[in-house]
Amino acid sequence: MDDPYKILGISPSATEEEVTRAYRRLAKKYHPDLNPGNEAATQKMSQINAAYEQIKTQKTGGSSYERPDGSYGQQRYNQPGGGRGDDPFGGFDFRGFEDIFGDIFGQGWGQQEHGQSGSPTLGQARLYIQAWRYQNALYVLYQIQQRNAEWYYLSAIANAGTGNRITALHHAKTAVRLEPGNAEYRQLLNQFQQSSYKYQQTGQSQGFDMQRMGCCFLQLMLAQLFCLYCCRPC
Amino acid sequence: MGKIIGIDLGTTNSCVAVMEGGKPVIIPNAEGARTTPSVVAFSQSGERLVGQVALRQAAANPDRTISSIKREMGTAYKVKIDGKSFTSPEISAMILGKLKKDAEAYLGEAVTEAVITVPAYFTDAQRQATKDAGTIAGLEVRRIINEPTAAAVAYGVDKEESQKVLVFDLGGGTFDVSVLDIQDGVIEVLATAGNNRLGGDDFDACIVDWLLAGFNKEHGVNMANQPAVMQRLKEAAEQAKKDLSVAETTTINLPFLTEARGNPLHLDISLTRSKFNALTAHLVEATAGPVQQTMEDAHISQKDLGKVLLVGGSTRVPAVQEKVKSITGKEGFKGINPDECVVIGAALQGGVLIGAVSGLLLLDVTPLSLGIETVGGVCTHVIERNTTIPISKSQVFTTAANFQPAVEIHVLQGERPMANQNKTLGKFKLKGIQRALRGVPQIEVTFTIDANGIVNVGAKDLKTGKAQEITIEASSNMSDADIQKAIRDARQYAVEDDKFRQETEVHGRLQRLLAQAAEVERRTAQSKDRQAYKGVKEALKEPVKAAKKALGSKNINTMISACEALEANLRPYS
Repeated sequence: MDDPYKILGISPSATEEEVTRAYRRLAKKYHPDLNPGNEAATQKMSQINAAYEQIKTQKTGGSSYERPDGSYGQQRYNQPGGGRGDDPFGGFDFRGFEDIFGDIFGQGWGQQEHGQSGSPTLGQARLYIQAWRYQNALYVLYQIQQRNAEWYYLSAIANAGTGNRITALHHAKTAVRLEPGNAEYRQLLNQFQQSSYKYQQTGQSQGFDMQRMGCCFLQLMLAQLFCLYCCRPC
Repeated sequence: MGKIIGIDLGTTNSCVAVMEGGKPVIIPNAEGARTTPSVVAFSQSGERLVGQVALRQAAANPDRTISSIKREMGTAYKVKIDGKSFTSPEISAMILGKLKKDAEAYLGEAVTEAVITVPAYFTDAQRQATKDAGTIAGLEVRRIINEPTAAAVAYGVDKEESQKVLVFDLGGGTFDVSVLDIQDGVIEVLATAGNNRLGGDDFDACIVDWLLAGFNKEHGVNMANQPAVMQRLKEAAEQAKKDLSVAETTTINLPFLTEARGNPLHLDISLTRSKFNALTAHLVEATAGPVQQTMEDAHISQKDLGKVLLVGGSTRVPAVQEKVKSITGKEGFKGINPDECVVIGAALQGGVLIGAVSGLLLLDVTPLSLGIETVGGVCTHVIERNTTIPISKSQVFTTAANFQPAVEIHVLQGERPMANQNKTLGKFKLKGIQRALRGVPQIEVTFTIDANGIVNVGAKDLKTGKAQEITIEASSNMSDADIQKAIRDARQYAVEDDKFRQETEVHGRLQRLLAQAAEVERRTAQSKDRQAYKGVKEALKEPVKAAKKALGSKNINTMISACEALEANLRPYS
């Protein structure tokens, strides 16, 4: 998804009130009620609503919705087809990392960020990423105005962590473009691209060439996830 | 452009309003009342009755009277009358049809478009069914809006100050709570919750059960299987409930209610408010959960609330008002009419849609989360509840088994963690997935909710580009062909209704003319003018004979021509 702050035309450091004001200004312009029969306006409004939702969720540190606990996430991965073995058509695995991380991180630690003072820095984002708190990392990142190669590098990791693979690949590419000599950035991009290599070989990339990014990368993240279950404080 | 009417299609009562001269106005029905009972009946002679007339004959004709049809919207429920079965949208369409007709009579022009309100907590199937009902009644439903939102629109349309408002809407059959933020003409719903099966009808049922049990104990008679008796009990219970909103005690008096061993039995009992409160305490308690949930979802506490609006007739119950006060810390706002504010809001929204009302914008949310079933029977959400609509959101999923050729997309609505605990909106299959190990295929599932809250789901295999899409039609809902047929039936009914009315009219006119003819004869006989009397007898003999014959024939054309002949012959004498 595109940068939600850009869609609302506000800076990532905007206060909750500024977000609401910007949102309503746009709603007054694009809401289908005020543009009867205008399909483009409806689509635009859908986008605006999605962006608004995302920012609101980030600002309040995750949704208040009570999700199943982590064990569901684990079950989904460990036992594919579990409980539906007799149905060859059934089974639909879940691949939205965003939600799993959103749950664990958004709920458990979401409150802390309100207490933080000072302007957000890349260092903070890096810390969040090291703690696998990708939603929080993204939140911090989007508040930073100056976007250098490192910003794009971190954003790529955080986006990958939350399941936004397309944005992740774009940002990884941007990071390498801005700082072609940086081995760390290049390695990340390679990791993303390697896994999509086979996929492209079979043709029909359909503009989604980054879809199968980093199988190993994902596995790595999975390992991290499971590790988290072991050492997660109760 | 024609006018858009606003319709509050309620469980017990419905109401219609329109924008006139920039102001919303309630349209009185043909009987002169501002609300129309949501009751449909088929008389023994086959005539269709809607509204007050249907309600009045309910006790005498309980098997062929349908009330509270709203509770069955979106289900497979069917009413069977004279071998013909009617779906819930078809019955609702009859109520809508009457409202439409009353509006047309009031406005003096055809009405083809409407905004219809539904409980905020209505599922997709129930919304779809309501839309179908409108279509069957010959109305293009320009917008389905949520009842508490509509009430807030009616309240907030001219409010300058910014404030957060909680709407507590307890109607005849449904219960909704919404928290809204009102600020310079923008009314944004922050959160909503409710219960589709909680309302005034349940309060009445508690009284009925209590009466039944007491009667059974006293006389050893079980009346539960006597429809006509039950109908009388229901009416009496509703009246008692209403009385207890103002009085501390009331009497329920139903003479000759039933009989046992040839002896008539009467019911005469008094009910105090405290007894009533005890009987219905669990219902009042059930309203607390949704109120707390909306406040939590909207991230607000008691002190953030500017106003609490009480909507729906059942909020007149004192125990309900006390409950609201104890949870929200606020007295219910008295400045709006709980029966009329919803329809006023619908009319205003209609005005917005045709540009007759400016500076007002409604931002509503989807009341329930939407998702699909994933491995292990888990419900995985794609769109969370309380997301502002319209919206479109995608998520990528994959297969769970090796070389899986197809996936079934089981679309769910609800908040529970497991798929089978939620409401199924529909299922469809995406076939032709390329042979691959599990976890490899990328299937993008996109949910779209339009401004009416109606859901569309698409799935796309990102590798092959194969896509499949459905507009959700729950199994209970009507297909396009069903709707087309129902529209034809409804038109046919309208024609029959017209014929019936015309017949009754001509019948009456003929009887009046016959009486007039008799009067003319009597007068000339009294005048002692033999010549004139003879002339009159001569002139009227044939047409009167023909008229009497026509009366018996029931043929409308014969009756009309007999009317005309008799009228022409009477003219010289009047």
